[in-house]
Amino acid sequence: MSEARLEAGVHHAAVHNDSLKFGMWLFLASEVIIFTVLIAAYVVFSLDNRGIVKQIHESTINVLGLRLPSVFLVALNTFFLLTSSWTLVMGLREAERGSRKGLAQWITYTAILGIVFLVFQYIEYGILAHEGVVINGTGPLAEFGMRFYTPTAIHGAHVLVGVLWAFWVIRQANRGAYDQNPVGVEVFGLYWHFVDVVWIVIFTVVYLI
Amino acid sequence: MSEETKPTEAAEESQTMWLRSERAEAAAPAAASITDAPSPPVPAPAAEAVWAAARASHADAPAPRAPRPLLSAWIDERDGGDSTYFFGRIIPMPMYTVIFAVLAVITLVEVIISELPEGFLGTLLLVALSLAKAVLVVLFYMHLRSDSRFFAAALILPLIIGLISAMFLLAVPTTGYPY
Repeated sequence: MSEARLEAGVHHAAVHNDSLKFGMWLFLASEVIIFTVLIAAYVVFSLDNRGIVKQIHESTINVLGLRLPSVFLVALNTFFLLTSSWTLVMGLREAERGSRKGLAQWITYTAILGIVFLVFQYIEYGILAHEGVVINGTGPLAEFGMRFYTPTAIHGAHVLVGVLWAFWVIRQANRGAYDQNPVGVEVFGLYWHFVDVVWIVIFTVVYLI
Repeated sequence: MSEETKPTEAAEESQTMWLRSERAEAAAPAAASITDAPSPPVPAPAAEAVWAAARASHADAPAPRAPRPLLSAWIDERDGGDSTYFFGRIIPMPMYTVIFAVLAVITLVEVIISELPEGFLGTLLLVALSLAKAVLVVLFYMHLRSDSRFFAAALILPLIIGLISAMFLLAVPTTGYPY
């Protein structure tokens, strides 16, 4: 009979994990609404003001003496965020295989790549502000800036929260909190990958089209 | 007697049902009967033992990922996750790495398209490619292809509501800006 109770415990564990994940999915549902509205506001502006959007897209940046399209910096940043998602799932893979050290190592890479993303976004904002794309003021660049900075900065805030969460996961991993059940890593992964998906959309809609 | 058989069924079920919501629901009556049964004078198993058994049943579960979406028939794990079946070829890399490589290549293609002269076809291609990337991340990295469909609803329903709202926003006549 104790074996039966053990099996019931296994069932309970599965339900427990699914409940945690569903909770995160519900939170992400609210995030979908927020980002859809912000991106839609940008799209409406972009459709009505193609000239100003093209002007900003065609601007160039100076990297080590080379004049490169401004999309270069953001494309690099997109690559960093995609890589951070990959390092996270590799960490989850290590956790599922019972490697505490491997998990902490891969999540550390995720946190570092998240920080690099934020640093690059800070640099990008500096360049744009220098060119007159501001969040307040009047004129076409300010009109663009308002619609541009809001979704990208709120996304950046999500990355910052994700980095802090990653550090928490590393700490918990080193303490062995995921040795028996790595669902905590998976729930963090849901959040981080969602932030990545949002960036995939923002990158295309705001920077490429 | 029936009390003796039900837990056995539940045990067999749990071998293949780990982390699968809809199946867990099917097993719920059996589990409930265990809970309702008079408690025998046996101490409850320690939490560690429960998790260990859960992990063991997960490891032994045969083919935990049923090929529901078409993509999983084309991209799937092989050899315990060390190689990947990718459109008919076996690649000696984990599935996560193969997906990452695909995402990186699509991003590169997107950047190249964006540098070409602007056109309707280019815009359409960019939207399609970014959607493909988002679907890959959601299916494979967020495990939606193997997790409960309720999770997908939590993503799709608000997206539909948001997109309908955006359509209304687009329908509002605009005067544009004077430049």
